[in-house]
Amino acid sequence: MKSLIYSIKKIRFYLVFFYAIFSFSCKQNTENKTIVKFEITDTESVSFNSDTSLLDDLTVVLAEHPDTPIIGDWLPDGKHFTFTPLLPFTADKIYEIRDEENTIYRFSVKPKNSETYTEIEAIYPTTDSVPENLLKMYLVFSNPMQEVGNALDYITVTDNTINKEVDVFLELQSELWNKEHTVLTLWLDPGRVKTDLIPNQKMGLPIQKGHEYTIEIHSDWKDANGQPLTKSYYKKLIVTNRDNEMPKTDLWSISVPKPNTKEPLNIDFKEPMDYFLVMECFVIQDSSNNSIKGTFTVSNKETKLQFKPEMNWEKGDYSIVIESRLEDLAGNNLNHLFDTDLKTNNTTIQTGTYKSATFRVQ
Amino acid sequence: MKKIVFTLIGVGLAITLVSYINNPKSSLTSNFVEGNPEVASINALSFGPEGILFLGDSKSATIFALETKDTKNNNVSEANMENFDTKLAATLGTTADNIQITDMAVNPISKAIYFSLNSTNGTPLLMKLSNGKFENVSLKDVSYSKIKLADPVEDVKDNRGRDQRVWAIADLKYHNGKVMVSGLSNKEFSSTFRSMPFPFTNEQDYASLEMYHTAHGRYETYSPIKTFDVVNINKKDYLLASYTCTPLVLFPIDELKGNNHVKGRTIAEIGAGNSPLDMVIMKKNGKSYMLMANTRHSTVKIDFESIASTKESLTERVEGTDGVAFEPLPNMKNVVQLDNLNNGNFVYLQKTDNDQLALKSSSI
Repeated sequence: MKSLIYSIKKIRFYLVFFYAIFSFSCKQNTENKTIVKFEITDTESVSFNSDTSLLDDLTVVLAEHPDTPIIGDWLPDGKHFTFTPLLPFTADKIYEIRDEENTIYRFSVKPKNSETYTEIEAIYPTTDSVPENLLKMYLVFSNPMQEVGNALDYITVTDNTINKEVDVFLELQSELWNKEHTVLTLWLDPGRVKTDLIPNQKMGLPIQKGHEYTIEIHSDWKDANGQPLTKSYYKKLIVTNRDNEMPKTDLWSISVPKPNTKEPLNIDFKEPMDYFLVMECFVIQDSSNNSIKGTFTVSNKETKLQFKPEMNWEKGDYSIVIESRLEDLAGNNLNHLFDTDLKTNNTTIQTGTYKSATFRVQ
Repeated sequence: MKKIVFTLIGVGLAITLVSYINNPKSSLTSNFVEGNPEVASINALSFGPEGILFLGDSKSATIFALETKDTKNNNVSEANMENFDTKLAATLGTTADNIQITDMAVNPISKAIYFSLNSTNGTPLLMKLSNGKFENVSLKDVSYSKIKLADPVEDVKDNRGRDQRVWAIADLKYHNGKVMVSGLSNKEFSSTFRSMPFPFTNEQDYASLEMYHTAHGRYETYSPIKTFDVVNINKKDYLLASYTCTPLVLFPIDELKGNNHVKGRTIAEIGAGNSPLDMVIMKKNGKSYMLMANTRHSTVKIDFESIASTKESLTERVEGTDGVAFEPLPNMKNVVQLDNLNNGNFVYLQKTDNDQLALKSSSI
């Protein structure tokens, strides 16, 4: 009896063994048939049904690198598998789902939000006429731009006066973008802007007085979704005299609003200022140093600032508090010229974080 | 029964002791929390003790300390990989033009090489290369602490959502209980250097550093330090800093406190038209060297003795090079990342002629 039971057990063992071998070969033979339903909702993940695949055998790869599994998270749910790559799939690349050595599905993804296109909303300074010691420019985009590659690869500057492409902007290892990656700050090489420095003596000023330049921003620059700009953009610079004057608040003209109105307070700088610093450096305060709520608008090629209060003006004294770091186009701030040697006992250097101007509403 | 109780207590104590030995609560990580630190970007990496990795995030102007728990000792003396960026990109399902390596740091304990990278849509990633294999290091579920970089300019209260100042963090180092950060602000052309104790407290120093810029031929406070390290000369720590164009300057560390104005001593000029990228201090056979990778010049090597012994203080304009002698390493042009691997060996990423990146290692 015992030997009979033993024989049955042995037969059962062999049956299980053969079944395992059979299943294994079945799976091997079902190449290209395992995917029943494939879904891809966006660039973030793919999911599919597979009757025969085992999680451990599945990989997603780039077609051009079939032996390099893409890092990501697999979420199995019975016969349903979802793969979320660490980095979203790149539009228009060809991917493969592989079961061991076999490709069981090929796919590619479309760019995300392909209906939204990115434009350049503004190039500061908006004026074409700039001093020869212009220090920086800003490009403002309507959507976040790609965070790889060098911005300067997409910007060319031509000196139209001598019909030659020139290097004007400072190459920085870490580009100066805002947090959203929609505003790029471009510096004209400060070493060349400052007179008497070696880069200035060897290469001269980045832009020359009397010359006219065209800055081209190329249409193949891509946004964060991999979509190129809608078109190329052009900005003209006509270079005028060096600006060797610090902005002086007492030369600004201020138009004072009437009491019990929401009339704007207008400040005329009499020269173009740095757009972003203007938007950051001003606060209007009442006589008790409470700041007045309202909105600031820069206009007339960054020569004018308008402040519209939320509430009516009351009679009384007010002050315009300005951070001294406010700069004109040549980087001259309210304390000193950009081109200042801090070693020399220069009497033109002032200190203090703030300057203020007062006005009376009456 | 008593015996059972004693046995249970004994087992309990033994388990507690074993778990304590396996996971002692380090004083460095005692204020760490578990979770998502919300890293917005990674611009600089540097290892501290106990596998703690410091991350400099320009976008959120924050320094993070991550407990990697990668603390198994390993002795690795070389690392090589051709087409490094293509291979790294393939493990992320993309091509090399869609990623950008922002920094590299070797874990001094495990010798795993950590890379921070940026992708087209700005997603920051932390990867490590260990035993020839790329792995992702989670930035979402980790033990961490963080500190926001203080702005020395006091903000006037305003009501209109001020545009956030962005720091371009250039370099970051941990030394002797302090994290030091150099960089540039996006709004004013001003140098920013901060040092803060670690474990992080609310304390933060922002001394202003003045130096004689040999290529510019004048004293400056606004030039940003591109790369730096800490050197010990006659039992005193100095910040060895390098700037674009390329002066090399020493600042005494003990003076970098509060808002002190500290004057540095310019000891060398490596040559204009160049920006330094990475600096490491290496030791071999009891001798120390400084290696510095550059954008235009080859990587240079300086015998530490000459840094320690120099009385040089350059205060005149330099055309060409001057000061402490340096040796350009001819095979190390276009090195974009550089770090120590182990005693006498260093690892670097080099741009090749076909515009690919190669991971290489070498001994000093």
